[in-house]
Amino acid sequence: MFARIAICCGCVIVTILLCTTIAQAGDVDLSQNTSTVVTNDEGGQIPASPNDADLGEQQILDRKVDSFRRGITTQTTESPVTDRPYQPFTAAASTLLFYTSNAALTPNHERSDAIEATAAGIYYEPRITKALFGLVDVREQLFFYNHFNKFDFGTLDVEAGLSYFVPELHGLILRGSYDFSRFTFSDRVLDEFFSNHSIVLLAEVPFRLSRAQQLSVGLDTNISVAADHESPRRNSYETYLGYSVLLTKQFSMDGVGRVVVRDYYHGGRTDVSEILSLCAHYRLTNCWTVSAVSTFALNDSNHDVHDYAVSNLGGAMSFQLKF
Amino acid sequence: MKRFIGRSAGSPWAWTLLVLFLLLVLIAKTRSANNGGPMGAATVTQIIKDVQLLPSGATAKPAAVNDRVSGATAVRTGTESRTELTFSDQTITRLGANTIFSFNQGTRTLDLGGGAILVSVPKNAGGAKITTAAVTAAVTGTTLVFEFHTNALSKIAVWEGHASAWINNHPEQVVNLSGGQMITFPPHPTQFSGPFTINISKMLLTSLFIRDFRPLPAQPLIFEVRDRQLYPPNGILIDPTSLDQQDQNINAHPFPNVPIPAPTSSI
Repeated sequence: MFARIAICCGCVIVTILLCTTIAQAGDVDLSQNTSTVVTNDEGGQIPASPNDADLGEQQILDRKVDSFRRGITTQTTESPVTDRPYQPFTAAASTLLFYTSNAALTPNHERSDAIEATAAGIYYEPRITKALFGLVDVREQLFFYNHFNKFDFGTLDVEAGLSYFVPELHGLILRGSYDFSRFTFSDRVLDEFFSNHSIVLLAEVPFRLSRAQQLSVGLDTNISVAADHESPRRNSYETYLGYSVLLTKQFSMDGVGRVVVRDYYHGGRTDVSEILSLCAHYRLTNCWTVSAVSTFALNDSNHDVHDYAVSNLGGAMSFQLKF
Repeated sequence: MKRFIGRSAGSPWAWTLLVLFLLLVLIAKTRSANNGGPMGAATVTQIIKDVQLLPSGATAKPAAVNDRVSGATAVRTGTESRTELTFSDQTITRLGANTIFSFNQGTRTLDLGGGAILVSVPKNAGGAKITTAAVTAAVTGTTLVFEFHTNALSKIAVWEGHASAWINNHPEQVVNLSGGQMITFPPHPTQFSGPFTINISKMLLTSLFIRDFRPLPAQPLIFEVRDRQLYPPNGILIDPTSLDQQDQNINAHPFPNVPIPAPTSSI
C-alpha cells in the first residue's frame, strides 16, 4: 500500500513539475503588471473620461446595442497584448485517501476498506467564440484498495466536446462531448478489462444567491454508443442540485444531491442511485487545495443483488494550474 | 424500489455531516445578515504625490500616512496623485487624481465631490452610500469604482458584489449592477447608459487603483468575477470519491479469486 502511494505521489510530483515548467508565465501579479495597452478585438470601448487612468481600460464585452447604448462608439487600437491572456490549458493532479464502508458495494456483509485514488489530467479548452468553448481532455485515475487489492483498477478517459453558455437564460451551461473510457488493472495499465464509448450531454443552470453563494441545478446524460464487454454497458440519466458557498477567501464548501438512473443494456437491470456529496476545501495557494470529501449513496436496483449503501469519507490534496 | 429516507436513517454519519453542513451554511447566512454600525474615522494608509487634507474652517495641509481623517475633513488629490483611506470597519477608499472626497461621520455615507474613487466595502460591514451632486449609489459588500464630473462623462463600474444607482433628480431611474457591469451618465443626467458588461481582466490590469496599491482584501472575489468572464464556468464537483467509477468497476471487473460474500436478497 505504502509503495503504491509513494509511486502515485511520485507521478503527481512529476506532473506538477512538468506543468510548472510549461507554465512559466503563471498567474499575473496585478500589482506588478505594467501593461496599459488598449486592445479591442471583441467589443467597443466606453467613451473616454478624465479619470480613465484610475479606472483602467474599459472594454465592453457585450456588443448588443439597445436604446440605452446608442452613442457608444467602437474604437480599435492595434497594439501588442501583454496582459493576462485567456489560458486554455489546465493541468490537474490530485491524490485522495478515503475510507469506504462498503468496498464491494454489496447489499449485505459489507466490508470496509481504505482506498487511495490518484488522478492526473490535462485539459484543453480553446475559446472559439465568446460563449462557445471547445474541450479536449485526457485523464488517468488509479484506485488502490488497502485490503481488497483485487479490486484495484485504473481508468483512462479521453473526452472531446463543446461547451456553450447562454447568459440570457440565467447563465445556462450546455455541454456535449464524446467520452472514451477505459478500465484497466491498476498494476497493468495496458491490460484493459472494460471500455466504453459514450456521448455526454449536460445542462446546468447556476443561481447566484449572493456574491459568495451559488445554487446549481443540472441534468446530465451519458449514453453508451459502444462498449467492450457488453454486460456492464449502461446509460446514465442524472439530475442534481448543488450548493456552494465561499466562507472565507480560502475556505469553501459545497454539497450536491444527485439522483442517477442507470439503465443497463443487458439483463433488464435498472438501478437508481441517490447520492449526497459534501466537501470542504481550503485553498493553500493559487494552485494547491486541500479538501475533506464525503459521499453517501444508496443504490436501489430492480435486481436486489445489486442494492447497496455506502459511505465514503476522506481527504484530498489537489493541484491545478492554468497555462 | 426502497425509500431513500428509510434506508439512509440507518447511516448516522450521513445525517451528522448533513446537519453540520447545514449549520455552517446557517452561520454563513447569519454572518452575512449582520449590519455594521456607522463608519468611524478613516486613516490615511497610502499617499502618492500631492494629497491635501481640508479641515472644515481651517487651511489645507498636506496629508501624511497614518493621519486620521474625521467627517469634518475633506481630502483632495492633485494631478497624478492618489491616496488610500482605511475605515475602522475595513472599508477601503482609494482616491484617484484630481478628486475631492469627504464622508459623514456617524453615517455610512461617502461624498464624492468630483474625480474618481474606488470603494471596497467588506461583506458584513453594513454597506455604504456614495453620493454625488447628480447620482447616488448604494452598495452592500461590494467593490466598485465611481467617477463623477459635473462637466464630463461620469462612470460607475462594479468589480464584485452588487450596487444600485439612481439619479438624484429622477429617483425612478434606478439601475442595479452586479460584478462586471458598468454604467455611464452625462452631466445633468436624466437616464443612464448601460449597463454594459466590461472586461474586468483588462480593467484590473490597467487601473491605477490596483497597480499603485497593495492587493485589496476583496481581490479573490474580484478574481472570481474575472475568471467567470475569462473561463467557461465549471460544473459543480459532483462525484468527489468517484463513486460512479467504483460502481462501474464492480460491474465490469473480472474477479477470479476475490472472496466476495454471497449476495442475498434484501427484501
